[in-house]
Amino acid sequence: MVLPLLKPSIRVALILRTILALQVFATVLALAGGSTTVLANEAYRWYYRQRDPRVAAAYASLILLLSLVSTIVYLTLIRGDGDEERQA
Amino acid sequence: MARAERVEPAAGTEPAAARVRAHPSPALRRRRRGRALLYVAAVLLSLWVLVPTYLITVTAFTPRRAIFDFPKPVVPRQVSAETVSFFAHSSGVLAALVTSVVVALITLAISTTLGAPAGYALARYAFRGKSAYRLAILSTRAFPIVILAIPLAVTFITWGIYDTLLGVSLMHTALALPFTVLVTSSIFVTVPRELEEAARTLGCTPLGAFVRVVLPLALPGLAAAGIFTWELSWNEVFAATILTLDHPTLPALVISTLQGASLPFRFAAAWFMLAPALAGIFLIRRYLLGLWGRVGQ
Repeated sequence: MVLPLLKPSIRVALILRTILALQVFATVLALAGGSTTVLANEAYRWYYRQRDPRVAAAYASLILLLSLVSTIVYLTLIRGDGDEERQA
Repeated sequence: MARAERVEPAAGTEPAAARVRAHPSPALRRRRRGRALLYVAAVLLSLWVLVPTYLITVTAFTPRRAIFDFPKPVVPRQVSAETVSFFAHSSGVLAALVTSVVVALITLAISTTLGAPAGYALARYAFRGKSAYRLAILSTRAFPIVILAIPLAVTFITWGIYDTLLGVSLMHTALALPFTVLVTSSIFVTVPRELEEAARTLGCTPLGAFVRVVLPLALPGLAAAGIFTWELSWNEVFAATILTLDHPTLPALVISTLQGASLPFRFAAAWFMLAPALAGIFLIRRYLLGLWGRVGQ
């Protein structure tokens, strides 16, 4: 009874958290140096070290694409009763 | 006389309380166990935050030679500001600190000037497309910083504001604005509309009613929102790194020098970033739940 009522909040939290998780940057750089990278680090590396904003922008677009896909997946998987659009 | 009255009911309930303590019912026992688990979870969560904070603070105030001691004493034996002052005097740190503070202040000024009126409008007026507007603002919170930063860097180069305080401030304003609008609107909602109307009937102009009645009542909440905006800018690292070159903010400087940096430098840097953020959160701790409580709804 509680979980269905929490569904809109859980959905919003999942969407926001996933999108933020895809942007993790400083933690990875600080803990792993340059050896382990995530997408945001690659974008940073291409922009800064290789001086190529175009490849960096491509990596950034990939992050945007993943964010969009994950959001759409959440929205289709966690369907509501229609009244949650107002609360989102 | 008054004292006797107060003692009497307490004395009456005492035997019952004692009985419950000796032979608790199963339901009560279950509730107590649930409560105990809740406390264990709360303590674990607190430790999750407090232990790293403690280690960073202690290490930042250990003399540089003692930082490599192992095993570490739980309570520090020597305390000195040597490590922190070594960090503060490293090249570029002081300039980056000033940059960070100024950028955060400009961000705060622009986002409050633009965001607070929008928040007030959302709180007070009914207009066509209001919920769509709210949703649009909320959705910009979900827009990745990485996507914004790289095209903006290229644009800023052509505009001539790349690597300037203004450039980074504009970027941070873009990040802070949705937060400012939604939070200030949730603060203005708590100020009763009737008070504003009463001020109007007593001869105040709309602006006068806002300045004399609404603003004083909303000010503590607005200040809390302001500190939060300030911290948003203070903590932001990716965009600040991409948009600066010779004039980095403190996080951007730290992240770019981190890989070759010594352990004392890292801990002192961590403490330098952490301390103002913690102090700010501590100042506004009473408002945090109110700030975030209504934003998600």
